[in-house]
Amino acid sequence: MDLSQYLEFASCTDPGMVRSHNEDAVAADPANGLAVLADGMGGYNAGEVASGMATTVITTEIQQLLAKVKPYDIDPESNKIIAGQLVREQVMKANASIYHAAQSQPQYAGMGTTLVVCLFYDNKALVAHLGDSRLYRMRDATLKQITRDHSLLQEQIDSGLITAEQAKHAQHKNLVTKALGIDPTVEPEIREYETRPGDIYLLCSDGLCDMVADEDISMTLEALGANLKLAAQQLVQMANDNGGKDNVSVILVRVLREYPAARGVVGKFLGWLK
Amino acid sequence: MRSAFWKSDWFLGLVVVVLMLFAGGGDLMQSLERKAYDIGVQSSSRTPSDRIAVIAIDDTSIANIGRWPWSREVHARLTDLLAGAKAKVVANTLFLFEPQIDPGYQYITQLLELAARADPAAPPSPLQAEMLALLRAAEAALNTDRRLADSYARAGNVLLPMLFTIDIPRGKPDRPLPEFVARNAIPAAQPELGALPASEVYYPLENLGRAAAALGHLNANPDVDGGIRTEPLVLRYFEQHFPSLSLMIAAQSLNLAPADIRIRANEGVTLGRLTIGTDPALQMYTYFYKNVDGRPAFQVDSFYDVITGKIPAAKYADKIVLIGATAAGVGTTSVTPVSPAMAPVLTLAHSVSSILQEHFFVAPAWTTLAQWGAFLLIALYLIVMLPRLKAAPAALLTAAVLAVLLGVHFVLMTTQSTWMQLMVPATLLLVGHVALVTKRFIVTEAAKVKSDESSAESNRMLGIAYQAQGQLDLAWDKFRQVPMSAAVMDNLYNLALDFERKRQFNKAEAVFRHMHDYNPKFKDLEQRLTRAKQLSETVMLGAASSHPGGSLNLAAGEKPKFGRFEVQKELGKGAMGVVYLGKDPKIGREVAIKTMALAQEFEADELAEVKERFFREAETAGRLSHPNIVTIYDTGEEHDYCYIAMELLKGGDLAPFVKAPNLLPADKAVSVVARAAEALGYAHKQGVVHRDVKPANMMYHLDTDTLKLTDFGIARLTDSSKTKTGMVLGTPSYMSPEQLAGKKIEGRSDLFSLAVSLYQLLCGKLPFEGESMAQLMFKIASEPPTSILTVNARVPPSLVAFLDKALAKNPDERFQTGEAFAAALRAAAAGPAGRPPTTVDIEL
Repeated sequence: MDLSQYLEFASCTDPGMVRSHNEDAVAADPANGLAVLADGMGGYNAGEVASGMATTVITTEIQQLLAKVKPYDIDPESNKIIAGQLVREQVMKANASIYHAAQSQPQYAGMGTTLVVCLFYDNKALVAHLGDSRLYRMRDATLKQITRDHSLLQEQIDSGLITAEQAKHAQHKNLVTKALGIDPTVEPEIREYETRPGDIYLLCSDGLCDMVADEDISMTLEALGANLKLAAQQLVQMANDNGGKDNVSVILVRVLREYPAARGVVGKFLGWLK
Repeated sequence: MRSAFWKSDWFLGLVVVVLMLFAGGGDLMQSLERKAYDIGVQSSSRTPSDRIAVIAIDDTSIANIGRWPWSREVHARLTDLLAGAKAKVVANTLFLFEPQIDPGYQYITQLLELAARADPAAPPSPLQAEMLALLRAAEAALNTDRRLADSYARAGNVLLPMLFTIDIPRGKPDRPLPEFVARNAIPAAQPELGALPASEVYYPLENLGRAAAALGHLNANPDVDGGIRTEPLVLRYFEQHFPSLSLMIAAQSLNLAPADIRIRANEGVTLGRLTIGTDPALQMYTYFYKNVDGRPAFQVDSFYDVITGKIPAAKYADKIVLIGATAAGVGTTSVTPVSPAMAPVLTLAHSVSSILQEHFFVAPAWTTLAQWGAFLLIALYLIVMLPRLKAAPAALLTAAVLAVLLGVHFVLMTTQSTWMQLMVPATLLLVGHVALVTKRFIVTEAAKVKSDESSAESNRMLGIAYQAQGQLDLAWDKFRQVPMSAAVMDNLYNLALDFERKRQFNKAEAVFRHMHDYNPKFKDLEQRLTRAKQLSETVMLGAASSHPGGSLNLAAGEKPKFGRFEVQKELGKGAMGVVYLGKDPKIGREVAIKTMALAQEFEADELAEVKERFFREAETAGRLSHPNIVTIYDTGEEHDYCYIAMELLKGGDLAPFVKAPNLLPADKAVSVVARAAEALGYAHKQGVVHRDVKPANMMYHLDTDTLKLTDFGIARLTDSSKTKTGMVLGTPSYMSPEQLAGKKIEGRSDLFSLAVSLYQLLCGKLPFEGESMAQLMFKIASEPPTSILTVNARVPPSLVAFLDKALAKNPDERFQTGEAFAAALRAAAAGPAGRPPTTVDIEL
């Protein structure tokens, strides 16, 4: 079923005020309910290659697979819903591609990227992430960070070494503990969440959350939630106004109405008619 | 991101439907319906009534009888003729509305009036009487109208046409209709029966009209496209309903009067037992009969032929005779489904036959419903279904639906004589489909332009990803779709290098060429392209030539690699492949790389097994570490070759030393063979059997007197396989009897082969020789070796005895181990007297 009538997507990416290259990459496929955001790293142009490869490979592969299977189909072997497996495999595939490219081509050596993937289906959102690109959810006027960064800082906070307040002024803000394309294999963190009509999901690179306070993000989404495109541009603008030290990328997804999986013949027919 | 509804497919469908709804009633669509109707009429075939005969006032008649209009006397004569022949009904399609007055007739009448004024009392003189008679005769002859009327009256079965003006009357008629007209009206109770209204009427002269049996209107009601398809069976003139001439003829032929005609409001006319279906305006869809074999459907005779008696009038007995003009310039013709110019008399014939034979078409009320139903279904299809279908199924489905619509139309026409107007739904279907396809094409094109930039980047990323996965062809596919830019040039350059590494020079060349088109000055592109071109050509030649594996082209500077070893040069060609001089770049050690083009040697189904065996053997041999056995460093697979990297040896194999005059000194030969025996003994203890011991596999360097056995286990590869070349086996001169017999090979077989080699090294001949392979094999298996003394008489007896034992057929009778072999050999060579062996010179 074509989700573009149930979900509204808007995305925006900007090099920021300081950097000349945009090493972020975003991809959205409203019809399949897929949003991918990657924040590349690595010298020269390699960072944008890594993030570009990540978004492209994941989007392309998932699109191809979704033409054949539905994310809510049950995998006969594991007896689980296919979506998790599907996203995990494609993330790993992208990881292998980036890793091998980095290994085999000197100009790409050492490249890698953070990643956050969001796949919507059956009133759910499946989130896979690596590194410090985040997913936020705006529900009932409350902004909540859904993903937990894979970063040194987060580890420090979790282990109680420093407080969240101290973290804001920490030195090694950008040290991630997991990323795509650094090791031959990688295990993304995958979770599933129920969505509700009215929810707004925000995928963003650290260029946004480092520059703009969560309260300001929340206020912006509340004020401009009706116009997602404008909200996305406004968020990027705010990051740039605050210095724009890094590339800024956001993808906004709003749940317009329920999108339960069409099951059974009648359901499928109705879904087809819509 | 929702797009505006007016861009959506279903909205386009809706627009097309609404447009068609308006256009459906228009001339264009209706003409299309009519065309389909005509085709339907033409494709059905019916037999016309044979009771109908047409007498045509054709060009021949006019040429012979005189200029048109003729004197009505001529018509009277024909009427008399037909009356005499007892025709059933005679109908004339000529309009006899005005009297025909001869210019002399007025004078005759005046003269007659004068004569009438003469005194009736006075008896006329004979001359007067004669004059009066002549005048009366002249009057009678010149009053053709009366002559015709008399004729009609006598016949009593002549029908004449009237003509109405089809128009809605606004008021009341100018004057009441005369009785002879009014008597033709159909008695009808209610005024509103649906018949077409008429406002004016032209009827025949009173005397003719009175003489006629009945009058019927000869109005045609042309269709939207001007063609005649229908016959208005009944016209309403104010309060009265008048039947058409055709209906009257039919009634007359069935001996029915106007009173027997019943009108069924809006759906038909009943004539006695005949029920004629019509449209709501009481118009019958006339069936037009096709010409049969080029002849008209009805028999049409020339007026002249009938009146001159060329065609006997008796032919028309009991027939319905229709008389009318068909000559050019007389009367008007009209377009009908079967003819572009049909005279009214023929149209009438078709109508009469349609009525009598019940061949007319009908369009009952349900067809209208069905038409709307079809329209609605097609509309739904366009709005709901089509936007969701992919191009190919959509085209198929549309074609199928169209076929069904056309099929229904024609089947109904030809078999049920029912006309359902399905061309509007069909057109709606076609227009809607084309509109949607066009719209989609335009939208995709627009979207394509829009997404080109982002898709270029995607393709580049996918290209890098595929290249990283080793799928170079896919990567090349992706990169090729990316518009050229500096960034892509870098990617392409890397891809080309990867292709080169894989020895796919033709593909590398393609990539370089692609890059060259954009920027020939990029890095060292020019040289690379030239070289890739050269290489791709040589590799192709190499593959085509017979020698297996082909040589790697080393001249061009690109150093191919086998595993970590860089190929330096070619050392020679072996049985299955080429031997290269390689170099381990890490430690600078030079190695020999023996290659085998297994992929070329073996069939695909065997290949996997052969490879596995190759690596297993290589691994086994690699475990051997002995001063007289070549060390193996590495094995692997590259460029479709399997390779073994081994110790690089100085010198060459012993093959050159087995022929006089190059024989080694006997003590050297013995020492070499003894060392080989020890090496074999060591290998056998490790569980490795050489399988192919022969001088060619013993590497010997004369200056340093070093011996190394090579190619352990390699022969095993080809043991059971169908090699293409068969070269590995060569002649089985060194094989042991049990090896030939296909038994299990073990160490003692190697020792037998070693003994054969020793024999050959000592005397330059083989112990077993045969004219043919079969003979050779027989000798090895069952005959004793040729005595070495016959070749070289100087061989000491101890060595002769040694050889006899070593070449025993039964393995149990030979030396059991390499060490025993070596010890016995050395002992034998030392001689029974313990003398050092003398140099054996061959004198030939």
